Amino acid sequence: MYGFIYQKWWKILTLLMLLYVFIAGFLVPLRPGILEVSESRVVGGDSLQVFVTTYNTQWQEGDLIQAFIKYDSVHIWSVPGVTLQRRNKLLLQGRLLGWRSNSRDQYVDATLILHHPRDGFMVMPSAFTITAGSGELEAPIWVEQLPQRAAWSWKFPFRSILYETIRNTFFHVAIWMAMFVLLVVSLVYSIKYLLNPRLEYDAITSSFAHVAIVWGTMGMITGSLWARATWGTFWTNDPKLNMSAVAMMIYVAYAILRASINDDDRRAQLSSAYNIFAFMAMIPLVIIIPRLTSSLHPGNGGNPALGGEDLDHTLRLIFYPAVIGYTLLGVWMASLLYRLRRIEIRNLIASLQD
Amino acid sequence: MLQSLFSQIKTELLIEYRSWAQTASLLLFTFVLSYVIYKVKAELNPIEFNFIYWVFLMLISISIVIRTEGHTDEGEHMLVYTLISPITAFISRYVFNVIYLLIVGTGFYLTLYLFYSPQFDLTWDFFVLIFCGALSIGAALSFTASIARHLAGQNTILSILSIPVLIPVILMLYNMGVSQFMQGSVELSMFLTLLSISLLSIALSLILFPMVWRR
Repeated sequence: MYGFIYQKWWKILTLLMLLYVFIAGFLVPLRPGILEVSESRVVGGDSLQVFVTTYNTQWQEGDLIQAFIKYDSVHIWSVPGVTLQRRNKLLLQGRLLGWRSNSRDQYVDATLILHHPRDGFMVMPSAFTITAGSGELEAPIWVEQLPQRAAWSWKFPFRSILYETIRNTFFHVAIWMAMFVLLVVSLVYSIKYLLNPRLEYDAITSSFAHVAIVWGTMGMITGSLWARATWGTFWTNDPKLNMSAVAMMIYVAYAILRASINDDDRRAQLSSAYNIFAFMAMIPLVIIIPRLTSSLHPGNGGNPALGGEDLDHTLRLIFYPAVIGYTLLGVWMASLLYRLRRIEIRNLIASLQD
Repeated sequence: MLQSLFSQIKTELLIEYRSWAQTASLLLFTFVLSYVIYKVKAELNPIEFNFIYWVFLMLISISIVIRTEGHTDEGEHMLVYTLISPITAFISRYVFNVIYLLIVGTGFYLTLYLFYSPQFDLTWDFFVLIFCGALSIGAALSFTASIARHLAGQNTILSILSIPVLIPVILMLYNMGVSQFMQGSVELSMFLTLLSISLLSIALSLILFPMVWRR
């Protein structure tokens, strides 16, 4: 089994995968999307004149661009006047459809949908807040047929707030997942050491734990940068963030514990026990507690992380290789550390035999 | 087993009673601490009081827990090792820590109350929180203390090892205290979360302690 760490093929595979992740992750463009509308509070029944700014669109005169305003699941209004101003700017004109006001709903959050034959649909939820207005209300009409979806293209999804930072999925999320894999390996070898005290198991445990600390730090740095770009601050008082900080502290404490014991067997015994304790304490910290409380971070408080729409097929094509790549890179780094420690153990045994 | 457990707890308490000066110094320390807090800020709102109480209790508890580990020296350890099982040894230490934490926690609360008495009412509900705190802090610290006892610079190492495990417990207790002061009651789910964290650390400690106890 240990022969695996001397083989070359998986190291080459790792490098190729990471090369692919970096190149594709940075160069694949974002799908076109709607950045902003010039006026979001409109009155039903009034004439509408709104500028829409889009992102990553290369539209030209003569393209058949359609705009729809979606009131609710059945009432969709097709905007009659759509004029292209620039390659990323549209002017929507027309007499806005009124809607029947009842006593409870004084306004409606309407969604703006744009369609372009090449780029497909662009959606901006809650683009307009339409108040009932005093004018004569028309009966709602609805569009029977929306245009067909555009064919799949090699582009990342456009999400408001995230925008271009969606690429950090391949770094922040993937690095944390790789860290968890490394920590599980470390845990398994700690248990193996306590059942069968061989110093080699301890060498594996500590190598993986040390690499996991590096990965955790990288995950924190990328996460902080991401938070700065999306939430506006490097650190927030959020359960998930606090608990992962605590989890990192536990593993740094593990490293310090190892450094402060001189006797090899004693160090292996105590640090293996602490490693198991730390890992088991970390599971409720990072995984369970944030889910019980409300949190900004995806994956908490009814906020999906890796399910549903958040990770679409294009992202998956890069995300999964990224996770595997970082995990294997971690295994590679840990195997180098392990080999170094094994040489030290052998030297120690040889010096004892002399 | 129960008998050896009780006799072990009794022994630990007896040893502590004979070296009563250490307990007295800890109580004096909490008194001095309360006095310093009072001199620094003479008016506290309940939330600040709650914050100060739990954070300082966390720091005091580290020096409390390391004390149990100092009871036995090398030779005595060999004797105890032949007499009782590691699980008995762990439970006796845990119970001792809880008793000790209860005494010091109550003392700290009472001295703080002494200084800030016009601003607060002495509530029995807070004693329930102190009891929960003693149980859960003891659970978080007892095992890490048994690791730290083998090392030089025990106190520093113990604080490094245990503070990450303690933080969620202290956060939970702080939140419980806040809802106690603000709403007058604590939700059952908070108690259950604290209980499950403590039970998890006790279960892990019982599994792992025999491995660490051997020398």
